[in-house]
Amino acid sequence: MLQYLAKRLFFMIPMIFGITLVSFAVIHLVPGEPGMLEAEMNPKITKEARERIRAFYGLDKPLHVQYWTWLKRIVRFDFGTSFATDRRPVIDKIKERLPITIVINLLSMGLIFIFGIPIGVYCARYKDSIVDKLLTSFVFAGYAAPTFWVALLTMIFFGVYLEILPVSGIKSYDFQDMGILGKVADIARHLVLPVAISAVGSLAGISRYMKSSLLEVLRQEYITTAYAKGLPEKMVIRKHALRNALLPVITILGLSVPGLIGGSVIFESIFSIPGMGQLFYFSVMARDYPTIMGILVIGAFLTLIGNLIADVSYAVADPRIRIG
Amino acid sequence: MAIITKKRLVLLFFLCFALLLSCGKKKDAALYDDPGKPAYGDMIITGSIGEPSNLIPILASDSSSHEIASYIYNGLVKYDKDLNIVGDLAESWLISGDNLSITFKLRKGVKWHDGRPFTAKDVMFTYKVTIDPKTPTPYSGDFKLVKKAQILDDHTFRVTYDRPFAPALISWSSAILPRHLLEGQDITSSPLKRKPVGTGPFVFTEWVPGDRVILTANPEYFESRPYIGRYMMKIIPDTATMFLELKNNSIDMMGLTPLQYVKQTNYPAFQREFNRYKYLAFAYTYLGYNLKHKFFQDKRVRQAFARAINKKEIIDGILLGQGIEATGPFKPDMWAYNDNVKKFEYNPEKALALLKEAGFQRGPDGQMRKDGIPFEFTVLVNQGNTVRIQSAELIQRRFSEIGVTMKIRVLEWATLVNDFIDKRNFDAVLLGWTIPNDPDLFDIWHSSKQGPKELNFTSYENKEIDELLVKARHTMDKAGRKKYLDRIQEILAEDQPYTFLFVPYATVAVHRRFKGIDPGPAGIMYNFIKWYVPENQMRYRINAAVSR
Repeated sequence: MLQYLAKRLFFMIPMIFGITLVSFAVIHLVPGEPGMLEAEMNPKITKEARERIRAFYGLDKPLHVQYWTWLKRIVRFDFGTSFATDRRPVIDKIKERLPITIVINLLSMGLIFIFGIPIGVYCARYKDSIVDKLLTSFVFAGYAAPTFWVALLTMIFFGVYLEILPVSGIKSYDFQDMGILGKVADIARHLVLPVAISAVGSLAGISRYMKSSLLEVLRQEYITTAYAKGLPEKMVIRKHALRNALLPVITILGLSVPGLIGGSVIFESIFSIPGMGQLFYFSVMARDYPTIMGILVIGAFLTLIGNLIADVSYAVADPRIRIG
Repeated sequence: MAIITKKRLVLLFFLCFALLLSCGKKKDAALYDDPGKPAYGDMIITGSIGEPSNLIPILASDSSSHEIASYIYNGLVKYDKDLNIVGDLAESWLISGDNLSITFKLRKGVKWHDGRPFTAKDVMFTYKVTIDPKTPTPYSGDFKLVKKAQILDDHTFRVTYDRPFAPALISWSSAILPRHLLEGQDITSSPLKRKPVGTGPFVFTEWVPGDRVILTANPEYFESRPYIGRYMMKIIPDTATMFLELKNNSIDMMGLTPLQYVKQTNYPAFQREFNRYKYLAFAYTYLGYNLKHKFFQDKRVRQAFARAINKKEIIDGILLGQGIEATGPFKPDMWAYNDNVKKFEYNPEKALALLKEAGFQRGPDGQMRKDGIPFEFTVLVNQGNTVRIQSAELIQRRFSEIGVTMKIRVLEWATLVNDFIDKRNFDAVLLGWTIPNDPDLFDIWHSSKQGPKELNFTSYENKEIDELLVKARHTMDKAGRKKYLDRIQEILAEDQPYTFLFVPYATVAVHRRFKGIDPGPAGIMYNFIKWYVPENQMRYRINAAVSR
């Protein structure tokens, strides 16, 4: 087991470098340069000023030199300074965006599991019943409908028409004057729509997973045995079937770790949530190389870690994998 | 027991939900028809799709940074409603007899937001830091032409140029920075880029990253204390969301698209809450030709195109009437505009005649050909700009009627500029220019401005224009300058290096409780400090103004 772990960890190192190299190359191949996009075609900006700004960012050096400089910094966990005109450390920018994205993703992941697993179990148990079909249609409709469209519809309904929930943002205009309870309620009100909508889109995945995996288990002979020895159905499903059927869910859980920090661009833009998705999008639009690379590296690292955790916990949970 | 707890849980859940709902805001029933009396207080909330990046304006290139900065800082001069240059931090100025130097008399008693007095040293510092090669600013061009800058006394500042420079005076409208907070520091790492200190009507209060920027009225503003107590810019990256926030009355001001202006805000409930304003935007859209292209070198071809395009149909169909036909590089409400130029009415017959004159022949398939080569070209448009893409489609159809095949290629902005325009690798482009308040056309039309990254990318060369541009640029006297500019517009209209298509209207919705808004050629924001909300119509109880 330990040897396995060490091997996995060792192979992560070249993988990380590979990822950074490819992302660095791809980003620099995109036309346009930082600090310049808005300055493009502006008569007030002279050619000398342009050259000066390029030199300031070190963009006049060859690409491999730029990569090397970046790499030397990154191994010391220094993400550098943003190329956006605010010139702030990348790590600060990520730090102030991270909490809200993690909160929303955790909440919606919680919702997905709370609703997705029971839906899956129910659909497996009462396969082909009317309710199963209704639930399946509902989760698939949620999956198929474009997020931005559902978001706008709910915003119009709850925000503009009923006026019971705020349309966008995470804080009201008078947030700083509220008491602690008021602040919590205010943020909660703002989070209802974004969390609900991000959860609805992913319900389909987890509930289908749950359903098919449970159906598989229910066909096993030991389930028949359990029934045969006279256990009530509740017990059979809860004690014998569900436990085994939950195994694949671990994998999904592991794979969702990187998703925790990567917010969705569309959805964060629509709800004006200052999260990671927005930061990444604006950085790409502004060709802010250090910020893009910072987010990519963290994302890549978390993906690899998530995979590792999934594999390891899988091995822990399932003796067949551990021994075999 | 178990059942009871379950019931309780459900009850608790509903209670929480009801609590959440009950926090919804109450609707104002007030009537906004009464103009009332000016009063201090209330807050205006605006939306911005981008977050400001840097509140030291010489370091920023995005519009939301400049918007915030415009409330915080002052220049020495500024534009009034009719685009005349008036004093801002400068009380008056004197231009020397040889037109080479300007002496600014600065206002006395002006204080920075931190209480320190403003003097000529701040002006000198701003000038020096802008031209400092270590400052990564894109805006050093105009200041580099200054030969000598002198502080005569604490409130007198003089700049001298090598030769008379017409845009010199207005170049001093750029924001004056506080010397006492910036001198001797690396300006790119100064805390002022997130917490600015200026002399302007509003004082910086708070910036919640990714969410909002809040400014508070400056009670000691030298011109007069602004009536509106607080200004909040909310960052809302999605325009559809911003429009919903406007309809929901959560933002007070927003620029509207033609569709929103004409159709989507045209219902009583909206008009009960909002006033809509329009004024000519400082921008025009044009079809620009690569004049190195062998067909486009012929003036008659360009004139034929001007005849073949129906500008009115573009304005009515795509801008829904929210624009006017452009005849040159200025808009009609500017002093520099010359209406007396050759205009090319829509007339396909005359277009055909002009093409024939230029040696084109229409084949049996309807295609125009010259020496056997069919007249085909590609127009480049930038992605995301629907107005331009749709205009190109209308033009495409009109051109096909005179046997010219125009293909449309939509490209992402950076690709369009870097790979096509910079490399001169295009036949034609459909783009727009912003019209500078100061009518200096040198950078776009002078034949010396054809280098890489320079703006005369259509390679326009006309000796007379070159001379006139230089003369206009170095004539300080407005009437004299106007004579040259008039002639330039006549030549451009005759030459048609671009087909000038239209000047759009800027359309803005502002909540009706704000009074004192008076649209003019300069837009609506020029008298922002005079906007007010009558006492009985105020919405946000903000105890206005910061105290020191």
